[in-house]
Amino acid sequence: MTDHVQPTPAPISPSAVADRTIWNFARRFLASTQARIGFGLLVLLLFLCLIGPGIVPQDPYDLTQVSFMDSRLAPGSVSSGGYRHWLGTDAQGRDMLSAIVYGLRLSVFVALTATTTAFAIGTVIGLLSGFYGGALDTVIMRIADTQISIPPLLSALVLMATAGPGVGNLILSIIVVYWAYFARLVRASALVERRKEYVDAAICLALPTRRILLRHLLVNCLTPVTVLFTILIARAVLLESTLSFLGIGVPVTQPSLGLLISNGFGEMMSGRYWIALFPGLVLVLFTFVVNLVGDRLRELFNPKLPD
Amino acid sequence: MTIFIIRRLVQSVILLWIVSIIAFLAVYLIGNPVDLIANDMSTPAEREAAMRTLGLDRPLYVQYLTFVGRAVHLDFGTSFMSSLPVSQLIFQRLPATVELTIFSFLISLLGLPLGVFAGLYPKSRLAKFIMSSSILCFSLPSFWIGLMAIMVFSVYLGWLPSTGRGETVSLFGVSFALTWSGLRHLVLPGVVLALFNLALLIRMARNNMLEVISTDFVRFARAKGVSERRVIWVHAMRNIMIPIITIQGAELAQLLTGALVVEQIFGYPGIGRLAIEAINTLDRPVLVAYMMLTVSIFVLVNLIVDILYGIVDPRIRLGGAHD
Repeated sequence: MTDHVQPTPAPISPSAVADRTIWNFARRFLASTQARIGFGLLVLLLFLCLIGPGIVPQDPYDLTQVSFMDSRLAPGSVSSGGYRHWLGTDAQGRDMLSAIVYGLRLSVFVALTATTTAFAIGTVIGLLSGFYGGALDTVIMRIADTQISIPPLLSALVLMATAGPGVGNLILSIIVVYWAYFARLVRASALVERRKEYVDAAICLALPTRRILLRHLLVNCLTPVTVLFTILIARAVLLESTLSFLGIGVPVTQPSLGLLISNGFGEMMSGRYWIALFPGLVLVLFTFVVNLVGDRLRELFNPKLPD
Repeated sequence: MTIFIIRRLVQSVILLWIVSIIAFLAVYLIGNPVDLIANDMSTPAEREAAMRTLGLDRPLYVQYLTFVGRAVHLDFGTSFMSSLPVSQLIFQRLPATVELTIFSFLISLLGLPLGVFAGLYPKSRLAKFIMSSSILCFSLPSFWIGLMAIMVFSVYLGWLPSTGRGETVSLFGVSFALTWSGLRHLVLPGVVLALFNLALLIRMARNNMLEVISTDFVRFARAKGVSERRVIWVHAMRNIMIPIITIQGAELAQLLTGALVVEQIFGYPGIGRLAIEAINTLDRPVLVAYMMLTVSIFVLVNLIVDILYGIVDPRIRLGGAHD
């Protein structure tokens, strides 16, 4: 109960209940097998993204390392370069394993950067909107409603068609599409929290508004947003890969998982299944483990949160 | 009640108006379509003439006003690429997409009983299996699972066709896939498109059931001696359906845009493929019309859902829960 008065900054632990320290929370989180598997695999995949380029046999973006001689090799075959392609090669002769690690790296980078930025922007806007109310609130929420009334894929599609393929544009489009979801949710919690007594108390203490917003309201609004954050990361990965699959996401020179699958589209009919199969499996695995973690967080934080 | 409907109607019209501006501006920025139409040999004078025939030489606001003036009569101009009226292009392809959307919506309704079961027996093995599968379904990119489905069911097993819509029958000038071949063509894209909503329904039904089953009114109904079947299917179900119907209104529009990806993979001749073609060829009128159509359907469905609520649940009509 004394979380707000303590001089040490509160951890991102969502509520001020005394026994809910970060370790306690971690233990409760890992009590479920599903969460253990999900979290373990997630850490493993993120680690692979970080160190991946150091351990894979080839830099798929470096055209000098890629040879057309080696194109469309089946999984397990040995290339002219002398090493074995465990997952085969694609039409350009890229080693699929290397391309997948680089592709995952790019997909995760885009999704994480975009969702985190949308989270930050949406949270600030939602907090201000819920705290001050009035005309500001009305205007912001009308904009958010308009944004949400267009399905995410459609807005992202039109934005990317306007801006052209590119990693930066992709990140921007996802931010534009997702900020409103965060803003709406934070505003809803801020409205509820604002009426509570501890906020009145803080106002009576003449604490600066910035402090009330950040140290009091924000901390108590974070719980549902954390769950939304994990859900939207998973969706952002899917959205990015869908756009890249349609050819308006990442540039051709920097294939993400979606673009790799798209390259494998034509090859499938000729029986070269591996070009589309393996990147897709990795994509599904990543999204799946993020969703497993998100599902457990939802259970712990707020069983009443709508899907 | 009338005031409530009028207020929601006005809100919807304003929303559509804002979206029309956004759609028009965004599409206007995509690029100069004359660059695609004109070939390398065209002289500047020819390009100017092309700009003039397409109306691209006039100021932006004039273009927008002309667009709105026509759009209210469902006239979205002429396609830059095929020189056919956009409304004709769209309405030719619309039945296919509507068919696909409704078909996969019906498939996804299977999630309802599955979710209810998982909510009633949360500790059972089957319930745990259902819930894990639903998380997996959430994580499947439709384009990839579509490819895999083609690979397995069309290429290896040869059970189902992979592309096109099959034979259609024409009734009152609208084509329906009510033939054996048409239905077979609908199976793969329909199921692939349904997966996400299926998972969503499972999760919503389960979570709401878990919540509702422990509330007082359920306990009282049981104490009163109401049969268990009636408690679940009448008392609890009614309360579960309220949030589910709200979300499903929005999901119908999601299915419509999701169809865009699925149609692309299965070579299905719907409006989604039309939109992708329009993006690739900078066919502005078609793209704007597609956006407006999708958002209008979304707004319309939500409006109907809201009005139904206003009738069923007086709390909403009075504005109490409508924040």
